[in-house]
Amino acid sequence: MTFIEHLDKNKQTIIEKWFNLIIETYPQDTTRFLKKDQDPFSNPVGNTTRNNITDLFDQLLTDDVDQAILLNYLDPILRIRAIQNFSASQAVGFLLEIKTIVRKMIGASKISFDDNDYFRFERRVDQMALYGFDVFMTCKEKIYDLKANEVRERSFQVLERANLIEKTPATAA
Amino acid sequence: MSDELKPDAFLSKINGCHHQSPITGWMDTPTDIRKGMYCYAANPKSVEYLSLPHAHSWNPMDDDWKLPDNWKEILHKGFKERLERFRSLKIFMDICVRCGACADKCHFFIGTGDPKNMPVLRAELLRSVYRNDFTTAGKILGRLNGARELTMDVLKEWWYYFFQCTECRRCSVFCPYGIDTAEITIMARELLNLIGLNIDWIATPVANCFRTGNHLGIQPHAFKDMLDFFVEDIEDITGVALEPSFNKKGADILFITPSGDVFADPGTYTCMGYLILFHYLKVKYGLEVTWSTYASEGGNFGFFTSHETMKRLNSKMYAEAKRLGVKWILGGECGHMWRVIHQYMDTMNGPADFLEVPVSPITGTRFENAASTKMVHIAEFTADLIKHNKLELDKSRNDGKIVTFHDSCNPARGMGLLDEPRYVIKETCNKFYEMPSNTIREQTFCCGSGSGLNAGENMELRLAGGLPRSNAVKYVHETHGVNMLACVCAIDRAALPTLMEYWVPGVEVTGLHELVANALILPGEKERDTDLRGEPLASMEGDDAE
Repeated sequence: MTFIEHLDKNKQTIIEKWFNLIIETYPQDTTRFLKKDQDPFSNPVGNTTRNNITDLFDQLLTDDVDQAILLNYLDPILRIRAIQNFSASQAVGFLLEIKTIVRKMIGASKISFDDNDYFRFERRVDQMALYGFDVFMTCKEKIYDLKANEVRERSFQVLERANLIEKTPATAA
Repeated sequence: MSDELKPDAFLSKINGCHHQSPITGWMDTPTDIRKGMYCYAANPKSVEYLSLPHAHSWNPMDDDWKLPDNWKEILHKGFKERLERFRSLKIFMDICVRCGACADKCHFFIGTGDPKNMPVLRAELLRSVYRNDFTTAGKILGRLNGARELTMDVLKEWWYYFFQCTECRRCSVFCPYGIDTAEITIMARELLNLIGLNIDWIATPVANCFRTGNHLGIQPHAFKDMLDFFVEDIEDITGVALEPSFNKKGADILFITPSGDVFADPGTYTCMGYLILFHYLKVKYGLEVTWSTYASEGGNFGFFTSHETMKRLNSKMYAEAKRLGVKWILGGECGHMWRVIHQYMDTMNGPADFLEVPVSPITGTRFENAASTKMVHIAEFTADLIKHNKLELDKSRNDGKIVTFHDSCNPARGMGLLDEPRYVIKETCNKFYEMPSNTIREQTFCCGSGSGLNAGENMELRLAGGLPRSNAVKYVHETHGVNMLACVCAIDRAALPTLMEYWVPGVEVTGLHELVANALILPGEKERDTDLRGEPLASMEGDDAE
C-alpha cells in the first residue's frame, strides 16, 4: 500500500482527529457544543470547520495542489477564526497539526518517513499553511477596511450627495 | 534515519505549537478585554447632558476606571431597588435551573465561542452577585452556592459581557421557564449607568436625541433638506414631483421612523419608499400623512440606558401627535422602536386618550393590536392596503432582485410581526426564498449590532455576532442566487451591509418599502428604467428580456 493509499484508507480517522484538535483550541465549555451539534445553521463554526477540513484533506492527497481550490476551502474556516479570540499563529496553526496526526499514524505502519510521497505530502501541508496565512491576513485587512470605511460609505456619502457637506475649496498643488 | 525516530519522541518536540484553551471554571477564568470586542466609553459631556450620574472620562483598557469611592455601595443599593421594583428581575434571579436550553442559542456564543456568551452564563455573572448579596444560602455557602462578591474584576466582566448582548431575546424563546435574558442585560446596563459606565455609541445618540429629537443630532432644517433631496431623486426616477408635508396640524396621520432611514444608506431608499407610498395615498385617496422634524426619531437608545431615559425620549412621540392633532401614529421600519412602542409606551407615557383607535381610512381595517398604543407598524398598514387591492403594483420591476427576508428581532419576537412583511414582499417581488426554518421567524438570528452595539470599534464582535445570520444568508445565496436581503429595521439596514461584505459578498440589503415603491405605479409617472438606487431594471437589461 502506498503512502497516499494509506492516508486515503484512514481518512475518516485522520479527519476526526484533526477536527478534534481544532475544536480543542476553543474553551472547554464550547467544545462540547461545537463537536455535537450537526445542524449547519445552529452550529456554523463546527460544521464549517468539519466540512472544509475534509475537502482540504482530499486536496492534500492529490499530486498537484491547486491554489484556487485550497484557498476556497481555507477561506470559510479562517474567515471565522480571524474574528475570534486567536492570535495569527493560533488561528492558522491547526493547518500544521495534520502533520502530527499523519506522523503518528505512519508510526504505527511500515511506511518510511523518507518516502518520497511523504515528503511531497508535507510540502503540500506547508504550502497550505502558507496560503492559510494569506487568507487570514486578507480577512484581517477586510475587517480594518470595514472599520475605517463603514461610516463614510453609509452616511457621509449620502450627505455629500445631498450637498449638505461643505467641500474644502481646491487649492493649487 | 527515519527508522530511528520514534513518533512519540518526535511528537513531544513538535506538540508545542498546538494551541489549547486553558481549562478553568468560569469564575476562575479572568476576563480579557480584547480590542475589537468592546465599544468606546461614553463621552462624559453626553452623560452630563442627560443629567445621568457619575459622568467621567475613562478607558476600558486602563486598570483604573475612575469610579466613585462608594461604587460597590451604589451598585448594591441600585440592585436592591430594582429587585423590589421589578418582580420579573427577582424571579429571573431565582428560578433558573441551569438546564442549558439557552446555552447554544445566542448568536454571540455561536460566533465567538466564548462560554460567557452563553445566556445562562451571562445571567450567572449577575446572579452570582445576587446570591452573595441578597440570599441567605449564598451568604452562608458562598461559592458552593454559586455566589461571589462584587469585585472590580467582576464589575469589568459585567461591563464586557453585558455589552456583548443585543437583547435580541432568541435565548428566551428556548427557556422552559420563560426567563428573559434581555431583561437581565437591561438591568445590568442600568446598574452600570449608575456609576457612569455607558458606551458612547449609546450615550451620545441619547443626548443628541434629547436635544434635537434624533440620534444623529440632525436639526430640523437639515432633516427637511434631506427629504427634499430624496424628492428630487424620486422626480428624476419617476417623473413625479412629490410634496411631503412637515409638522402639519390636522393631518390624518403622524409618521415617525428611525433617523437612520433619512441619513444612512441603504435606509435612504426605504425612506424614499415611504415618501412615494404617502404621495400615492394622498393623490388616490386623499390621505394626509405628515412628517415631524421634532419627533424625528423612531429609535430609542434610551431603552439601552435605563427605563427613565427610554421614557424621556419616547414621550416626544405622543407630545407631537397631540400638538399636531392627528388621529393616530404610523411607525416606520425599525427594530427596538417597536419593542418600546409595543411593550412600554402605553404604560410609560400613555394612555394616549387624545388619539383615536387606528383605523385605515382607505380600507376600514381597525388595527386592534394598536388599539391602546395608537401606533401602527407600516408593514401591517401596507399589507392591509395590498390585501384590499388598494395599491397598483408592477412586481416585475423588482425582477432583478432575488429576495430573502431577515426577521428583525424586536418586531418578530417583541411584537409577533412575522407574516405581514412576507406578504408585502411576495406581492411586490416575483423571486422570494426563505432562509432555513431555524434561522427565521421567532427563531431569527440577530444582526449582532442591535442594542447600541453598531459601532465601528467593536467590528470583530459585530462580525462574530452576525455569523449565524450571515451563514443562513450564504446558504440561500448559494442555493437560490439570493442577492437581496430584506429587513424591517434601521439597525439591520446599517449593520447587514457590513456583514454581507465580510461574510457573503454579492448580497445587498433593502428595506421593505424600497421594494414597495419600486413596484408601486404612481399616477402620472414616466416609464421607469431604473429602480430607486438608479440601477437599471431587469426588463431594461438586454432587448430580449421579458
